[in-house]
Amino acid sequence: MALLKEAYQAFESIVGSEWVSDDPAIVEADHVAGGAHAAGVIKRPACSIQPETAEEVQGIIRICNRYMIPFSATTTNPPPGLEREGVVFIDLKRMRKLEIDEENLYATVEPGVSFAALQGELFKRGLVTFVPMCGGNVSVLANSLNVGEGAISYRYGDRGYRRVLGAEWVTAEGEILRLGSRAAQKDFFWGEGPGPDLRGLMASSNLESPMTKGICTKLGIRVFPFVNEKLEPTGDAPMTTLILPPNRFKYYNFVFPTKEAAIDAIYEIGACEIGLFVMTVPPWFFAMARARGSAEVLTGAAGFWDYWDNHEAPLIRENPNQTTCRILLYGIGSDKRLAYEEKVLLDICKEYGATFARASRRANDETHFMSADAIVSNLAGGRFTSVILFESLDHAFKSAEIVNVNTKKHVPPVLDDYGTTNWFLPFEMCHICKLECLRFASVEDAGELALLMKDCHKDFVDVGAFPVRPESELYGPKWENYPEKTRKFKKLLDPNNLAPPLE
Amino acid sequence: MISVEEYRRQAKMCMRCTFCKFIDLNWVTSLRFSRQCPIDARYAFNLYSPHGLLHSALAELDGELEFGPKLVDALFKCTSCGACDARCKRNLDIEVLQVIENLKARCVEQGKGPMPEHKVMADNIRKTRNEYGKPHEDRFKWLTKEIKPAQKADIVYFVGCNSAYQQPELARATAKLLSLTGTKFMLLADEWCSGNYVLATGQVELARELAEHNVKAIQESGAKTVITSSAECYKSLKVDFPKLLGKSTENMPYTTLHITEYIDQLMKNGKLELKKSVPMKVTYHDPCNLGRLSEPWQEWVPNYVRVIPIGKVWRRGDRGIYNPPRDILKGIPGIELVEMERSRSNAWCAGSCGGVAVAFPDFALWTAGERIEEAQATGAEAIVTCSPDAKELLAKAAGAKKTKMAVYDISEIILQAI
Repeated sequence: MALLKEAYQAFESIVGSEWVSDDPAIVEADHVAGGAHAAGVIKRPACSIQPETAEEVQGIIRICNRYMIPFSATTTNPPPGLEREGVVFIDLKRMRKLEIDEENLYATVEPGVSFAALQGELFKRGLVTFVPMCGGNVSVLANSLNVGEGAISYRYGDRGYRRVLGAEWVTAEGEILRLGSRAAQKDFFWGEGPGPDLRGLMASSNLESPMTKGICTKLGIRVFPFVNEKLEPTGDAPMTTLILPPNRFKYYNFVFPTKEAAIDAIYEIGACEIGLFVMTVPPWFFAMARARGSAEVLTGAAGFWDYWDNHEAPLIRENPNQTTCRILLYGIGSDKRLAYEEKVLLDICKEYGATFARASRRANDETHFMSADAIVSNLAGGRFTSVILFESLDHAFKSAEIVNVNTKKHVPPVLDDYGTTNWFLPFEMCHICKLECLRFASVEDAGELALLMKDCHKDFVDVGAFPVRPESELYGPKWENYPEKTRKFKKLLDPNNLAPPLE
Repeated sequence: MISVEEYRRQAKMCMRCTFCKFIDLNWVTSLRFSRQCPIDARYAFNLYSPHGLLHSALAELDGELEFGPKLVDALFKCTSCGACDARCKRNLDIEVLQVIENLKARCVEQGKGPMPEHKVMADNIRKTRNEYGKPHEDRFKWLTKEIKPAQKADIVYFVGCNSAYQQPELARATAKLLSLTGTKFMLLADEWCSGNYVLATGQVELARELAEHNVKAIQESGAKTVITSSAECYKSLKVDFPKLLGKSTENMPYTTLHITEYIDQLMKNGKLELKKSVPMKVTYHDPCNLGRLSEPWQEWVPNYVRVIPIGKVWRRGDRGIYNPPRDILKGIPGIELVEMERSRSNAWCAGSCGGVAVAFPDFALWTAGERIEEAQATGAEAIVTCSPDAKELLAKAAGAKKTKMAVYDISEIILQAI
């Protein structure tokens, strides 16, 4: 659907003609859905706009309201709400301002700032943030408003949206709301502010896209103290990594005879407050790690499958209940702390019957600080899907069985995973646990992955599991009719219904 | 070029993760220098990005998109620097660059590309065997009385158009270096443009013609080793010629060496010592064609079992020529070498790749200007490179920014130290 000429010209008057386009090639490239999660029919936007300031975003939204044009915004992810006709796509990646307040431990970010860039800047200042496991290339702002989490959330104690502080938010009607301390002064340090805390409407955790009621243009997020030693990058891609200072970090791998023993030991590790992160390690991780390499013939998918078929799969068949865990011990503050953590860990391993517990020779990392290898999972099959839940560790363990059962119905096993591809990643010293069930399919079978997700969600309702992006018609009746309430908020903040729909 | 089926398969594998836009994440140390795709950094629209071009390739194949002005603009502004390709292969192994190259070739086949300036460049090459349209007989006008190539030798010095016509001092410097190291070398009697930009702008047939001629000329010369100081010619000789002729690099009738590889070997074998001090703090710019694009070409006929590509050897950008120039610079007394944030396979393109400077000089200059700013951030007083085209553009950008940053070709620095 073409835009009215007056509307297009109005957009040009706001951002300049260089930064707005309705060329078919421009909007075709904008409407791409990414990965197996893409479902339904999406349409080309009517035009694409690249604002640089909150005021420009405000101007665009006001014009949308004047001409009743639906809009959608994003930075790195495919934009939501493109099943509608005539959408104006607001691409926020030119908004790239970043400020770090070292003394007060927070950063202020615009949508175009990536996690890797923030982390790189923080490292120089002896600070750290947790980079989500989906990749350090994603937007800090967008990810923090939504599911955002990283491995080291285990120690630093929150999921993405819980670290959101002050915010600047352009509502779907074009009003600029400043939340938290930003309402009264220039800083973004304080999140709550006087009066009701409105962050929940925007930082919507798992229930809907954060921009269903407007566009967040600036955000304060907490950052954390870190070791002063440098994490030195080394290597040429694909073999790049960060060298960890050995006096402050030590990896341990340990293997339990049963999944139950592993979960109990992880609880104990959390109770003793040791480690920078702890997790179970699905066996395919090992095969994937060995599939990375330079010029040898068996790298990439070929290397993965060679290792999987000949090494990991036979081991699993022999010991199907055996569970491998990994912890990164962290000498925060001193070398002595590292020694203490090691002692405590070995006691726990002994108590819970770990059959193998030893310090890894590995003294480097490419996953947990920069998330540089996030998408490597696709290598095994061409497509994968993650059924993700945030639960108690115990409940996550039970929910994993639901995914195992449903997987057999849908995915012709590109990876005959024996139910071992589930990944338990506890946060907040094991208060909550991310369960990520990775399932693979070839590019041709990607549709089956979407159906698998649907079936899992149906079954999760019955056990009260808390998945990412639950389907509202399934969950609503059991969860205080939340869709009804969010619809009311949506109507209040987006009376013309121009921002992306709730579902 | 890859088959249409393989081309579609590769394009379809893109899940728009956007890793292609950033340097390897483990190497990110700042917001300012974290991005790597010049068209993405400058134009921001998703079309102007590797994943945007991959999707456009699919849409064009499916008949949903034509080669309109914007697509053609984005496609030929892409410098084909290969940064996206190396980044994607950090995790996914999609042949991003091959898809983009095929899209350019399809655009040319359909008569919608390349840009008019690229056509002029191709016409010049057809008529005069060099991209500038200068007389072919002037190709060796740079020779002086002191430089005496042999009539017959095992080593051929492949000069390249830029050094032969635009910056003859670089050709002289390389020839002097060869002479001073006691290397017996000859010149090709009938050297033609290597066609790097011709292939990069999708003009495949002309590129093949140039490859066939130059390979035949090398064979007829009897030389077994070809040395060049041009990063662009190096990539053509080592990667593009075998690719265009349906062979692997190892099956070519000659071995290609960049002058830095050759000098580095001499130094490491104790046959050359650089004794004179060159007191200077320098940073080194990795030319894309000598770095991530220079890995040997391995011919592969698509063959999959399940999802596994059988017998494929990957070109992921990590086996480029990164160390020899650095080792040479480190071996020169007085030189202090400092690295830019984006170096080796993470290097930011200087804007001279892919024929972009020919058709989009302003954009190319902007790209080079970004590199100059990055070099300035290191505190270096000079930037050293191994590509005559990159040197020319970087010097122009340094001038435009009114900086004192000097720009050198590495052969000029080595000559000072020898």
